[in-house]
Parts: sequence; C-alpha cells; structure tokens
Amino acid sequence: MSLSNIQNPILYSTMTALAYNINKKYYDDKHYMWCTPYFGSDFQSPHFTVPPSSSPLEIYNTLQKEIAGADLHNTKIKLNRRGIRNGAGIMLRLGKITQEVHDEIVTISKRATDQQFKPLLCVISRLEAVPFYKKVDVKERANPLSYEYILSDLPQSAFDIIRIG
Amino acid sequence: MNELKSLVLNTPLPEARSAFYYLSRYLKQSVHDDYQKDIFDDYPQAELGEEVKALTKKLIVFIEKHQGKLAKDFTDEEYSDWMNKIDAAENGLDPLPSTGQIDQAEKIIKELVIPTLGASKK
Repeated sequence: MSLSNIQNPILYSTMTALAYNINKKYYDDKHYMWCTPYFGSDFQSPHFTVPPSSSPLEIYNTLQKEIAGADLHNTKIKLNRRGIRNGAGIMLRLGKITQEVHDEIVTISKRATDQQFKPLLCVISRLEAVPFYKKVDVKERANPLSYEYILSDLPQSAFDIIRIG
Repeated sequence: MNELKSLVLNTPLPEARSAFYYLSRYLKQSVHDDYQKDIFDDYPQAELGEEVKALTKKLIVFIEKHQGKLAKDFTDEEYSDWMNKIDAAENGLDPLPSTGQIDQAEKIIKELVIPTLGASKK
C-alpha cells in the first residue's frame, strides 16, 4: 500500500551512528533508510507484522548485542560496513560525491570500530516522509499486511532520533 | 585466494562490491525470513545495472552449488561461514589506502558524533 494511504502516523527505522554521520557529512544531511510503520515484530499481533530481520526493534537489539560482544559473528555490523561502501559507490555513480570522497568513506567504513555502529532509532513523521519514499515489493507468505518502505534523501527535519535501553 | 574473490577478478570494483552486497542480502533473507523481497531493491534514483544482477546470481549459484543445498537450508554455521567469506572478499577489493588516507579517516572518525534525543531538531 502506498505510504499516503496507510493510517499509521509514525514510521520507524534503525540506523547506525556511523551511517548517520556519513549521511550528515557527505550527503548533505540527507538520509537513506528502510522503514516500517511497525516498531516490533510479532506475527500473532495485528500491529507488528514485519519479520524480525525487518523490525527496527530487532535490528536495534541485534546491533546492541554485537557491540556488547554477545554475538561474536558481528554479522549485522559487517553488513552495515558493506552497506555504507555500497552506498558510497551508488553516490559516486550518481555524481553526488567525488572519487576522493568515495575513497574516504570506504576507508572510514573499514577503520571505524564496532562501537561506532551504535544503533539509533529514527522516528519519522509519515506525512513528512511521503515525498521521499519508494515502496518495497514484498512477497509475504506469512502476513499480507506487512509494509516496508525505502526513504532516500530524507532531510533530518523529517525525523527525530532516540536511543533506547 | 578467497574463492569468491576469484569469481570477480575481471569485474570493475563498484560492480563487484555491489554484487557482494546483494549476495549478502540474499543469504540473510533466505536464512531468516519467510518473507521475500527483491534483493536488488535499493536507492530509487540509481538504476542497478544488469551486470551486477547477473554477477550476484552467479555468486549465488556458486555458493549453493559449493554447499550442495539452497541457502534457505544452510545451517547457522554455514551461513556465518559464507558471510565471513563474503566479508573477506569484499573487504579485499580495494587497493590499500595511503598513510594520508588513513590519517584523514582516523581524524574524521574521532569527530563522529552520537546524536542525542531530539538532536535532529536542534
């Protein structure tokens, strides 16, 4: 369903502190994020219809655990590092950054410590997000009410940041 | 050499990097979700090249053939092992940074901020 037509007033997304800083410093404080109107994940609930891997709360908790050293694989942090590098490649291809800046972002993504991937919960006004969204096509076998959206070039004025736990 | 890296030897770095990223997405989605998204769904303004999609699919076929099963049937250990291999291969794509690049990156890392509640409105 289009973001204009859902009833939920708030969207949620979890990003890392490093991604936030990269967006702020290199992408004119415009942010890219995957978001959902559902904060948590519970297929039994009519309110939380996304799977754990898409739930902002679950992503937040996973990052917290990896930073605390409770998960030795650090899969989420490594994926985030690769996501930052892939994003820099896209921005380079779009002509939004230079090769020099691209290389700088790549080096930062490799040298930043795990502590710099602290999770941040973004709380986004749905109405303010409408001009910046793309719907994610989900072939959902468990719950047909799941919605996810990609927001790009979202200005910081459209969302707030909180930390939980 | 990491066997995954050998599959992208003649591919331009940005395409190889993207293919490894979307390969990671495929694995993550296969193992954890009864929930199918297009692994190539991304930044709306950037049309993804067919060469990246083809390379990603080639890498998927390689790891599933190597493992003898579909990714959705990987054990936790197999999943972690492949994610580590992808990480090592992707991480090794770039030339080593110069001392100047490292110093500059370290300087910026020291300046990183952790935003606090309501910081976005200030």
